[in-house]
Amino acid sequence: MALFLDILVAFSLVAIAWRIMRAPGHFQAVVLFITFGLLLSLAWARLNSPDIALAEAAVGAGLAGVLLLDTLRAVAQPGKVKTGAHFSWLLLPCLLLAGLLTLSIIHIQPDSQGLARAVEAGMQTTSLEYPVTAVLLDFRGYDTWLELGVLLAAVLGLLCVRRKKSIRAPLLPAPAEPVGRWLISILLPLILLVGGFLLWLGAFAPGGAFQAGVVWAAGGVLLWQAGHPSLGALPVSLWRTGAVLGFALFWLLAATALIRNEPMLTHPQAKAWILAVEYAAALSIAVCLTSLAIGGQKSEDRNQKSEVRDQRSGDRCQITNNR
Amino acid sequence: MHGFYIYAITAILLFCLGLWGLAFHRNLLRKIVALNVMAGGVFLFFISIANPDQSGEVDPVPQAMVLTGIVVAISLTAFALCLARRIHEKTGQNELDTSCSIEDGDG
Amino acid sequence: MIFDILSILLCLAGAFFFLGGTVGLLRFPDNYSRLHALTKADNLGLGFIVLGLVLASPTMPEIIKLGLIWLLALVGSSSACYFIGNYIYHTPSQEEE
Repeated sequence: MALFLDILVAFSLVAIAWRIMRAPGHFQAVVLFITFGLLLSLAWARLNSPDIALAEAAVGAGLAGVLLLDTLRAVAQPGKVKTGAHFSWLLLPCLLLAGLLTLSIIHIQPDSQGLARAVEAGMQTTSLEYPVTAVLLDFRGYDTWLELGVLLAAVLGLLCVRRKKSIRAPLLPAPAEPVGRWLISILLPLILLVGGFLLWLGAFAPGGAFQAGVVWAAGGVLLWQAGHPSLGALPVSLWRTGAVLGFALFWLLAATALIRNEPMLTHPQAKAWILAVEYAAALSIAVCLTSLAIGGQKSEDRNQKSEVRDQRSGDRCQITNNR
Repeated sequence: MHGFYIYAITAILLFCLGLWGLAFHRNLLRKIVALNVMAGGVFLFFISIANPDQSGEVDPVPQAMVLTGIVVAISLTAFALCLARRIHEKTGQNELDTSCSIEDGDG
Repeated sequence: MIFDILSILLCLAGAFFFLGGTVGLLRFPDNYSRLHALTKADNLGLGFIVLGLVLASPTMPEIIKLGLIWLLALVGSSSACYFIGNYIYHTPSQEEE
């Protein structure tokens, strides 16, 4: 029975991926991609990885869908539905590659223990009780630190590309329809609660900074999509602080460890330290992802005018030229 | 052990389909979607090999890395989409115009 | 024992309604009736499955969580239905595929 379920999930994953590639319309492809994310989170659940399933359901199906649909609407070209596709003969080499890779995995003897034993041994030295969170925040703090750095870099890059000085996107006026407001008044407290619950859970059960941050980011995007003014009312300095807080706290941790002549990122054996870092990371992930989702919106009028002028000068090859 | 083979082969197929889509589509949005499918394949392979018999303890290190990877992938996607939007604003097109070369046009 | 059988039956009933909703989504002619199939039948199906799982679950917190999940899904699907219907109603009609 379990085998049947696995085969079903695997088959639908491949079939949907195939449909994503072959779908004639972009909108269809994006919707199929959202479905793909949901199925993938089912696969994570089958593979005993509830942490990844949580993050994937919020990211792959939620945030990625919002981003893709938003961009699709912004770059829509009416009357030009045809997908310019080429290199369809490349499918054959790609399938050949798949065959070769499959041949190569047959001989893999998966080490069923992997690093699990090492982590188990290390659990004595950490104050966290859940191994995945311990790996993320304690044993491999570098990964999380640099990942926060990547998020921050992505936000900065987005600001550069959009030519904006501040993260805060121009917010829409509050919606006229009552349902949007009603939905927010119900969902937002719940989202805050669920995020906080996941964060609290992370110390001893599946959950943690990543999942909480992603759920909060989804809440922020929802708030913005419905045109609620509260995000715009936040002072910019607070928003900036939130974005850099996680990275800065990791940096502080590294610096103090160096000053105390210890290896980088070692910290005193206190739960408060780890929890502070975790909460800051969750906040930063939420703020950065929200900024990424809503920061790509239309720039201010002034910029648009200058862009129109740019376009009028007829340099369609500007991108290739600027390389 | 069956679970490992099922999901590993699925992961390989996803990766290769994504690779093909990346080359196949001219539209930048579709390319980004294909890239995400590829990323999904890589993550799936990683976890399937970390959890070969689908029972009991899963190796926590790959799980943590995939979690990190998912967040990095979404920030990359957001940035790529932003670039695609910028390209659309500048050129009115959704694809990179390879017929323009550095020589023609004075920018 | 009786609880087990009941829970399996309820889950099967839920699956049946999900199937009906999906068939409706695929077969109905226009967007409004598709939305109707999707929201009504699926919510009912989810309700049955939640009921079946409540019978099978041992502890009180799990039961409360299941009920909350059902309520959330109801809120989500009904408001999504409203937004989609609103969008369809306000956009000038295009040819259906």
